[in-house]
Amino acid sequence: MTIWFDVEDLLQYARMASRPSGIQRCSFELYAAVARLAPEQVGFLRHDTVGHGMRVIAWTDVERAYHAMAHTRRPTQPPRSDGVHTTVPVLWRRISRVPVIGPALQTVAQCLPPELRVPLGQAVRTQVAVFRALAAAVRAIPRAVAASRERTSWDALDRQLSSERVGKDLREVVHPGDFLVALGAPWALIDYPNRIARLKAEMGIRFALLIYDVIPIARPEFFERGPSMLFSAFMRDYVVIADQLLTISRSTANDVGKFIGNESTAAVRRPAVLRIGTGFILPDFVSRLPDNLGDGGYALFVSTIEARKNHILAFLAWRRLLEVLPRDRVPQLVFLGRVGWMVKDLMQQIRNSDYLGGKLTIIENADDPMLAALNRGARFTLFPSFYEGWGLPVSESLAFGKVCLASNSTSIPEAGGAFCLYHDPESVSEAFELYKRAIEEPDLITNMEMRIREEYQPVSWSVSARDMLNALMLSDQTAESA
Amino acid sequence: MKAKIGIRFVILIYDIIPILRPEFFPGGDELLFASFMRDCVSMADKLMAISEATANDVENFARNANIDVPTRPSVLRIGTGFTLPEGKAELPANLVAGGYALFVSTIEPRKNHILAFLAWRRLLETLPQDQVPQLVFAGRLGWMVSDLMYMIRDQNYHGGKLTIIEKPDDGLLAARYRGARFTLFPSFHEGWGLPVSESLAFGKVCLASDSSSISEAGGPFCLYHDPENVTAAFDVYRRAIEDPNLIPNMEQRIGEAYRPVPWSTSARDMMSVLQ
Repeated sequence: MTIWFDVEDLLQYARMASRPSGIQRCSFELYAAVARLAPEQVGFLRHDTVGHGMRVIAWTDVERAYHAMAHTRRPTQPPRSDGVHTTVPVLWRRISRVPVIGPALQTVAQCLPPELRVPLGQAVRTQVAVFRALAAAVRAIPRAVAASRERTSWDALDRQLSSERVGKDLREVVHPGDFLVALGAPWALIDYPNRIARLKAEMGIRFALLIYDVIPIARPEFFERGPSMLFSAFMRDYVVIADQLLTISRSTANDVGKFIGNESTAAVRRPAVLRIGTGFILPDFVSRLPDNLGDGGYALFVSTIEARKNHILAFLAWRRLLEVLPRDRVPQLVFLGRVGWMVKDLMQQIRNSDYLGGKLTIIENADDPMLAALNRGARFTLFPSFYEGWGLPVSESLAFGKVCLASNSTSIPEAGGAFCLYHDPESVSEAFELYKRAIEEPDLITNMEMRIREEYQPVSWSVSARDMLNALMLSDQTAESA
Repeated sequence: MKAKIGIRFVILIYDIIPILRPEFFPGGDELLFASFMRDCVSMADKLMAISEATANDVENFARNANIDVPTRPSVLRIGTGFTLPEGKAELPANLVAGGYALFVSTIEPRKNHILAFLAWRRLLETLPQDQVPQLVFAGRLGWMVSDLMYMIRDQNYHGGKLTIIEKPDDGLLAARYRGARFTLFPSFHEGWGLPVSESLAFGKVCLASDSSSISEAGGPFCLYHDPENVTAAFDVYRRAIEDPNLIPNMEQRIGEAYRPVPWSTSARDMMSVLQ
């Protein structure tokens, strides 16, 4: 059995964005790990530009395309297979790194996370010409000039990939029972479920899909309505055609289970849970902290500023800290992330409060070296999110040896384990009490940091890849015995 | 004028929330308000406030701003309600008497509609749909709630379980109070809490915030929760829905023991302050 990975969405994303977001990073790390672990058993696929077929693409070409986008430098020697030391954890690339798609779509797009922008863009305008126009619009934005230079080189690469190095047609190399696996955001691709259904019928191939979360279905209030509806429509199609579902947390598996339960037509089994890797590639250097932040003098909240992430709780709890504690004892509160959607009123409240009299700092654009510096210098981190599929800022915080004061909701305790302090995300008062304890009890944070140093085990991407391979093999056995 | 004709100046202070919670007011207001308040408080011969909580707030403000205040503001017991005309108003089609919880207030961030919205989501998650009363926001759309309104729309008004009635109409309001199963008032900060005493005047229990002046307005006739804790509010709401005796018993208590304050009492309080 060969396991084929559909990397089309990653390559398309690389064309539109200058930086990978969470899904692209995670899927890329998984591809890299399986390519390392089981090179004979896996292959990578692009979509045919004409027709509904797929073509093989060499792993080295996928790697080149990704790095052209991510500007990441790979370690010169290949990382050890459980190389958490060489791939020291860093950095879910945040949405701030995705340039505005362009005036044409801006009004729609500025309110959306990139995983939703792409499909929406496609749903609205499906033609390649439009993508070219959008890319041109991006170039017109001064901030994106540097990125566009990189994009030019990517365009060259893309041309090369699509003309000179066309790989074999999947039909020539596929065997019935092979798996086609989508680890990225394939709901970004127009008509994808139909394409998969045809391939399944034509080649006897099986389909597996990694689901990061189903939050637009579970908590639609945090998303614009159009994209939410698109998302649930896509999901409905996928759970019907997938032979195996994979998820990144038990919590997401439960959510998917519930969703499938509601969709009576679906016959798919309960999703398998992958333990996802902790680490990304370390930046080449670590920046200095911004001038107003001292080492150990601030609490760090890394996340796009959007309603679901619950910045309002941190804001209100900090207001109370400033009311009860001497000002100089209250750490600076740092929001690190792009200002996203549905937080206009929160931002107004923040301005009205004069940024809590100067105690709140918002850093919208930080690169990886700055993010690393901020994580290292934090007294502790915060993550009060209402709802997650995993909780990357939490495991990232732990990887830097920092305690996170986190929401106890959904998947977050899976990401934080015994190394975080938890509170109800719907209680400002409870969060306030917890924050206050962390500030006032001198040993609380230090002891937990010691525990992190001694006991926290980062998960390598090889572990994730093995989990995935096992799930597919298991699925294979079930199919054969059936 | 004080200097010229020797007149004395007395001011009634409703609240100083723009100073205490500037985040709830569209930019700039609080600066104007604060300087106005500073002038008034330092010039006044006597201060009056509509609640003990507001009197406390004023005292703290004066202390922090180094303003000499001769005496603590005197508190007037304010009248229970305004006279609501009895319209022939019927309830809107989707509301039945006893089938809804009523939240009367301009929709603005200080009033904490988001708490009611989030707590209702949890009620709908935990209880059978038909057991959860309709949630009714009665009040005009104010400022700084566009994101909340987006959330409400994206959630499809809790699948229809949330009704927003924007048109202010006192006649309709009386009918709405009468038909409510109970009322809600989760506000973060008040100078008094008129919707609470109004609710009591209609014999209805209010599930209210325990902050600032609100418990003065509600006394022992309301059920209170922390306005900064959705979970606590959810628990109170749930009890009120599930416990068949809780609300009827409290309504009985209101009927027996609640004494509305007539405006003549307020007037008498004021006269005695001035004399």
